[in-house]
Amino acid sequence: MENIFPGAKLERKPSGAIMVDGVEVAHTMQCCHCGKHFISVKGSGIRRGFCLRCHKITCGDPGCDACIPAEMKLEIIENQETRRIIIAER
Amino acid sequence: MGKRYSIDGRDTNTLNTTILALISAATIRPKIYDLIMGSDDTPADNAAEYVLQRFTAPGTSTSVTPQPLDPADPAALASAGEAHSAEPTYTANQILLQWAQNQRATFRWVAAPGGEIVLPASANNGAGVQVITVTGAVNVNCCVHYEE
Repeated sequence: MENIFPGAKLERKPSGAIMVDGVEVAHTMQCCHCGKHFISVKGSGIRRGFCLRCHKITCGDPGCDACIPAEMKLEIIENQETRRIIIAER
Repeated sequence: MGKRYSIDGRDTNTLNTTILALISAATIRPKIYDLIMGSDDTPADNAAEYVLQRFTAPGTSTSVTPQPLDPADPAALASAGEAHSAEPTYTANQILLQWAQNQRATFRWVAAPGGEIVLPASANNGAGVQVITVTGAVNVNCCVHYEE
C-alpha cells in the first residue's frame, strides 16, 4: 500500500502511531510543553524545538519556546478554574 | 493504568462541526490514548481535515455515556457529547492532533505508553474532534478510548 505520509520519519521512541486502514504509516512525537502530537517529515522545513530543561523535543510553536512543562500548564488551567469558582462563591 | 472507557460519536462532517467531544471533570484528568475516525457513508473520494483541539466550554450537544472497557469498573467521571447544536469554545493554538483523511480510509491514532493526550482536571474543559476543511460533507464516525 502506498504510504500517504511520504517522508514521515519512523522514530526510535515514538509518542504515538498512525494507522490508515490497519497499516502503520507514521509515528508521532509529542511536544513536552503543549502536549501536541505531530509527525516529523524529513525535508518539510517545519521548525521544531528542543527544550534543554525538559530534555525533550517541542513542536516548534513560538508559544512553546519558553519552558512551561505540560504538567504545569494543566495545573495553571485547573487553578484558574478553582479561582473562578471561589470568586463566584463570594 | 487507570480505568479505561470508550466513547463514540457520529455526525455529518460539515465545516467547523464537532464530531465528538470529551468533557473533563474537576476530579479527574482523562488521558486519550486511542482515536479512530471513519465513514459509513456511500464510498466516494471526499477529503476532510480534522483537529483534536482543547476547549474551555463544551457547548450544547447530545450526551454520550462513556462505556467502561472493563465491565467491573464504575461509571466514568468524565462525560462526552456528539451532534453539537452549539459548538464548544475552542482554545486558539491548542491543537493536540491534526490530520487529513480520505472518506474511503479509516484513520487511527494510538498513543505509546506515556504519550497520552492529557486533559485538565477542570469541569467543562476538554478536547473535541472538529472538522476544519472538507470537500464534500458525509456522515463520519469517531471512536475515542481514554483512561481516567
